[in-house]
Amino acid sequence: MECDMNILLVNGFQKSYFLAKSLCGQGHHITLIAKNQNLCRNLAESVEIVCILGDAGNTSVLEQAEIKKADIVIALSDSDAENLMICELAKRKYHIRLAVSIVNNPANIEFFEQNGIDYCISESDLIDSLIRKENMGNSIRRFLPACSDIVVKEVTLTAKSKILDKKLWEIPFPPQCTVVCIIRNGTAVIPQGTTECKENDKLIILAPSTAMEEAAAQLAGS
Amino acid sequence: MGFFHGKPKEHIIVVGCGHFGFPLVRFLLEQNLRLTVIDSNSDAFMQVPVSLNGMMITGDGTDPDTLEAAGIFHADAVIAATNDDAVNIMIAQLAKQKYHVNTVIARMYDASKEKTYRELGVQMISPVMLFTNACLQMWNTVSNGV
Repeated sequence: MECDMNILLVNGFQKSYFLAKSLCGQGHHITLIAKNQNLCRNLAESVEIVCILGDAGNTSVLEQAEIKKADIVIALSDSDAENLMICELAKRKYHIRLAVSIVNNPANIEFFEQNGIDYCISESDLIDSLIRKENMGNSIRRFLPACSDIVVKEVTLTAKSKILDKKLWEIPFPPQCTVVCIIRNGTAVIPQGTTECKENDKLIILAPSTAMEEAAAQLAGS
Repeated sequence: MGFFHGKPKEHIIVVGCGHFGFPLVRFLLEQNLRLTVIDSNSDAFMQVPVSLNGMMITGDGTDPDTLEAAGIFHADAVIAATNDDAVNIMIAQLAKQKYHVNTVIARMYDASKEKTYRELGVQMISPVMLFTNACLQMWNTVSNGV
């Protein structure tokens, strides 16, 4: 396990406060660059981190924060442009191993990835996909009579799953359980008996509530 | 700059219409170029004379939707002239890498990042450096003259 990493956090008012606290608790060395004096003072008083008050877009501030020693740079600002610039400077100029960025506009995620940012996190995109997922089950559920005892569940196949590369007909499902849809790489596949299960597939299963647990366990293969 | 005198009605997008962007916008409009101006603050367009024809778009210049509304797919040049280095760089990169615009120019305050971005094919102009160089040149001329 990697521990004692040097992590540089940049901007992001509340996010950086909580992240710094939690990462510091795990024994990492945290440096924070922020534009807000109060945040710097509060953090420096409550946890053992190095806080630098300044504009991270300025390379001399980054160097003052010893960016060259950092293992990970995390950009948390509300401005996508600022996050991109900091991560790019980290990757291209200082050759940091890992650059993580908040991407506020989901439309920019792909562009960030193309520019070598290792992890792009978009809050609105996460919530959006959550709602979509929620909706998939809901839209199937809408067709079921309210009194029926049938439930809908979504199961994602991990590398551990025992049913990988098996055809659906080969899987010993409990009676009355059925896979109604497979979400693969963002597209929906209507399954047939001969459809093979792949890693990262999302299987949407319909089953009586009593048999759902068993069916889900069968798919997860734990 | 070649595109000022190129074939008529070249399409130029300018992002930022503040203290720096506005004189630039006025100059380009007077050159009878096809101009689209983007600024996040709609008040910025108040100062542009109505007699000059240009398309004004209120929006975030780092948002691909805004750039596409401004017609970036067919733009001949993009000039990022906001007062934020990071925003200018991101717009320039989007224009160059995502939309393959021919001429892309970004205004930079801080010249320390210049090398990193020049490698990406973004042309940068630092008004501070221009001013400094002009001052030095003047000073040299004066001191040589004495």
